[in-house]
Amino acid sequence: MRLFSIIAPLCAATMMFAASGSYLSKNAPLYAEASESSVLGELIIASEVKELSQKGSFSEVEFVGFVPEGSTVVYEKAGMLIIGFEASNLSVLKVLGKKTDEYGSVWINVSVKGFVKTDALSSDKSKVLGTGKALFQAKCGTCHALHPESEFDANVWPSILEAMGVQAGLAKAEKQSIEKYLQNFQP
Amino acid sequence: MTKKMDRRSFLKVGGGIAAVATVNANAIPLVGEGLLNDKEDGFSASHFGAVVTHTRNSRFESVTPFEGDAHPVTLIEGLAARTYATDRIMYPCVRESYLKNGYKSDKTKRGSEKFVRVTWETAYDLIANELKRVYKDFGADAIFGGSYGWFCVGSLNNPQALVARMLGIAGGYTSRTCTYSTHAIRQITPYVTGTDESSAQSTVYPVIIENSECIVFWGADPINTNQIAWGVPDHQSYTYMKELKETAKKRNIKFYIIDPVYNNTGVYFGAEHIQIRPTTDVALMLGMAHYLYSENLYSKEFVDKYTTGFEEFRKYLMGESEDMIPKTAEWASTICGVPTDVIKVLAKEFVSKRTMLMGGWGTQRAHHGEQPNWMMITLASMLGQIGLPGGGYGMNYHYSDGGVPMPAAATGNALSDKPLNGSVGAVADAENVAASPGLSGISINSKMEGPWKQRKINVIPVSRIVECLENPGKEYNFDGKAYKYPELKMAYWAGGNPFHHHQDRNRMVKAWQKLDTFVVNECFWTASARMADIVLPATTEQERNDITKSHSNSYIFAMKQTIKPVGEATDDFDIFVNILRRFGANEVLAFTEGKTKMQWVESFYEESYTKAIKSGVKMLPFKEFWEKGFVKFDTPESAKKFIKHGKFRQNPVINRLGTPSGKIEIFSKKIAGYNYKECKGHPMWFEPMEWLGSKVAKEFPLNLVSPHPKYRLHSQLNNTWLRDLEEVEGREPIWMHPKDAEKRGIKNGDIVRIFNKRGQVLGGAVVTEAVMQGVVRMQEGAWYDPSEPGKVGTLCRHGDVNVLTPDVGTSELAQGNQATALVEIEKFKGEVPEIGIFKAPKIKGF
Repeated sequence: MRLFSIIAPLCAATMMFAASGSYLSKNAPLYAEASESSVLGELIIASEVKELSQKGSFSEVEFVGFVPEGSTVVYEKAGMLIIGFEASNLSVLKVLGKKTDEYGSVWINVSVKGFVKTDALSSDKSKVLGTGKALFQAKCGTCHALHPESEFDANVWPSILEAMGVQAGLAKAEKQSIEKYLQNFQP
Repeated sequence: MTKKMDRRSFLKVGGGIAAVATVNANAIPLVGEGLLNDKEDGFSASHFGAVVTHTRNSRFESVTPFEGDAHPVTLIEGLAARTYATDRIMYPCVRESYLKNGYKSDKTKRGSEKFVRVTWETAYDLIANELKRVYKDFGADAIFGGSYGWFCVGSLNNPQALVARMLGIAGGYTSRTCTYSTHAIRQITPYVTGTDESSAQSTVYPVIIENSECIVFWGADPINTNQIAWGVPDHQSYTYMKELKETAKKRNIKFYIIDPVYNNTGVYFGAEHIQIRPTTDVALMLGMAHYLYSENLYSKEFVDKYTTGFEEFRKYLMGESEDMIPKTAEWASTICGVPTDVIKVLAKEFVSKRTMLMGGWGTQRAHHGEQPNWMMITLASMLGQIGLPGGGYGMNYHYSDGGVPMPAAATGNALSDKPLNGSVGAVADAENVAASPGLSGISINSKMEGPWKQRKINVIPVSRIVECLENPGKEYNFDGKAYKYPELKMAYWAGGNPFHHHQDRNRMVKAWQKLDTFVVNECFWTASARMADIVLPATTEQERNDITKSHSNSYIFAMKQTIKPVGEATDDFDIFVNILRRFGANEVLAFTEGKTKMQWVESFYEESYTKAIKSGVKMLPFKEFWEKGFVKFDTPESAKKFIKHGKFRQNPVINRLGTPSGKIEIFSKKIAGYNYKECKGHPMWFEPMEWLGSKVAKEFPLNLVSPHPKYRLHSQLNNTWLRDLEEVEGREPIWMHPKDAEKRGIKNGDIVRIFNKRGQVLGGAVVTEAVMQGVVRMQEGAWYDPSEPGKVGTLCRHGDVNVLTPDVGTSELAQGNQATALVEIEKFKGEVPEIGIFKAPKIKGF
């Protein structure tokens, strides 16, 4: 009986953190500890993370994604250039497994755990993508006609924004916010 | 007692609303306050360059080039000239029977009927009421607001963005996707290399100058087309091209030009001319590929490591699939006209030297235009030099200073970011923060809340406009999906000239009759303005304040109003505000966001300024910038090292491309899965509908090509004296080979009639060996001058080449536009008709 009364609240607490999707509302550093000390890498806007616990103004989170061999750029899905996390170095990534796609590309399933400022998280993905939409409309339709979001697919938009980002003087955070909006667009 | 005629009174007498149609009816004082000069150093900018403007006695007389322009071009002479062109639109006009009967008017009278001068209020009421009627009876999709064209420069008064912004607020519209420049290449290359190769950064000139041994201009003319830019050109590409030529003397760089015409670039570099029949480039490339494969000269390592699908392509190449014909150099020669041994020599040359293939966009403006760029990337893959310094390919050296190193993007913090995912923009460093914050412009979407926020704007591929008018509701294929054409009832054009850039003019004239209402904002009586129901006079760039940047991002320029608008010309911005007044105060506020025009201009600068300061980049405060006319941004050394696909070559796993395989897709499963008839899983030779080897050539044995003009920006500046630099007897010149001319009894300087089943135009013959036998060359952009306006099949007296070109999409994939045609030519018989354009049409005054 006594054990139950301890376990039940623990389960409830865990459920609370795992239940709702948590998304980055902006690019944010992932710290090894609950302080702005050693940086494991950068979590990218609109990426989904699992919230594990809370420590002051920081949330402990876990990000799971796919990375090509030797790369520090972790994608949200295998086969799509949708960036979830940019690691400072390879050693911060924990290998969970491997899979090979129909083209013979090897994708390593990795995870990384760390701390991010809680104010960098949001449960409303569409709201987060909305800021990218506003930027897209403000920055990308002034020199030339605004392209339809469906013109290019999620894999192609990054290279377009790389070329156009220079033309439009886009900062990295702006570019990635626009990118995530376009990559997540559903007609 | 005589009244002392002082300057002020003198001006009053002539001033006020002009009651007559001419530009210069106001009495101009002979002398201003100063001795002859009113305003010496004004400043403005254009698609031809930034300029110091000179005004005397309130007349914009001339310009001198901006001191930072690396190679000023003659086109800037057109700026003052066109301000006072005899065909300036002076006041709002409505077509006579449209004024009487509105949307029920006789559309066949468009172009021939006289216009009636109206007040602005009348014009605005007509437009607003018609918009409301169409919204109510047909819905937002029925209004075409795609308004394609090259308009002017300027962040605020961007007519295309403004008309879309206005229509979006008023109730919605149908827009367009793609461009007449890159319709096919932009749709196909994302499947091949995961990017739009028309805009992807090319290897920069410093790297080429140091490393390339062989440079191939393939259907491109960078010496000519870099005169203009989408932003403001600073012409740095010319500095680099000069340096390239100098280096070639010291280091023996070989230049080739593969083109039916020995163009400006070929001449400048002394390139070896490989004459090729128009639209057969894919066959030439296949012949080269076959030779490389058969002789085992191709880079097997590159193909294996960096591409996918070579095996399927190899089968086709060797005649083991599709048409079962081996694509030998002999096979290629019979199609493209290049001798077999030359094809083999070229292949050997390109693979053994460090070769840069500079592809233009002419090859893709053709039937099956998806194939040439796909095949060029395939060939480059077999050459194996993609990602090496000075090797591989680039598909925009001819466009807006492509290949010129650019300032980094200012990032908002002093240290720039590490490169993303294989591709790389220039990286600024802490010691030399050489970056640009860019410059925003007015958006098609308002920031204000309202019903416009929820509107979905549908699009059609831009060059399918006539097909759309002809076939409302019809299903069509585009880029892997099926869509339906909307029913268009009204079109509003601002900053574009569709009766220049669209193909098959006669078919277009007929199809345009389907529109109830055609509204045009224009500065001049262009062919499109003449075909309109309602015409509103717009200001030119130099008649308003604005702000812009150089295409290379090296400068931000002030555009300071040089003179008051001529006649009743009004800024597009104000025109659209006034139309929206007929909808409501909220609509007006949504459009202006509560800012005056100058506040808008200043806000764009402030946005850049804030970002620059945060990034450690120096910028003048607005007042000083406006006084000086420009700010400059430096280019970091790292930008001068950029190699296209360099990172991909270093590590194709980490730096994978945006394709399903992460590699260059010579075979695309996606495209194969579409099951299109005229665009399949790998590059192929498809016979064009009209080419020198087709049955059509029996009746029309000359292949017309229509490159970009030398003394115009497409159709812009044709109404200035610049046309005198090239016209022959007042017509657009057409280049013919001496043998073709002789056969037809045509001599240099003769007026000729050029014709095919689609139409007929007059031109002035220039007999020259610069064009190969069997090919004729006539620049696009000469204004359409119909003998009987509105009549299908009428003779164009001036030389509008798009009377002759077909309006058939490239294939189901890109649905792009074509720019070549088969024609016949004869010396014009009978009395040569006068040109009827470059003056106002008949207008009834008040």
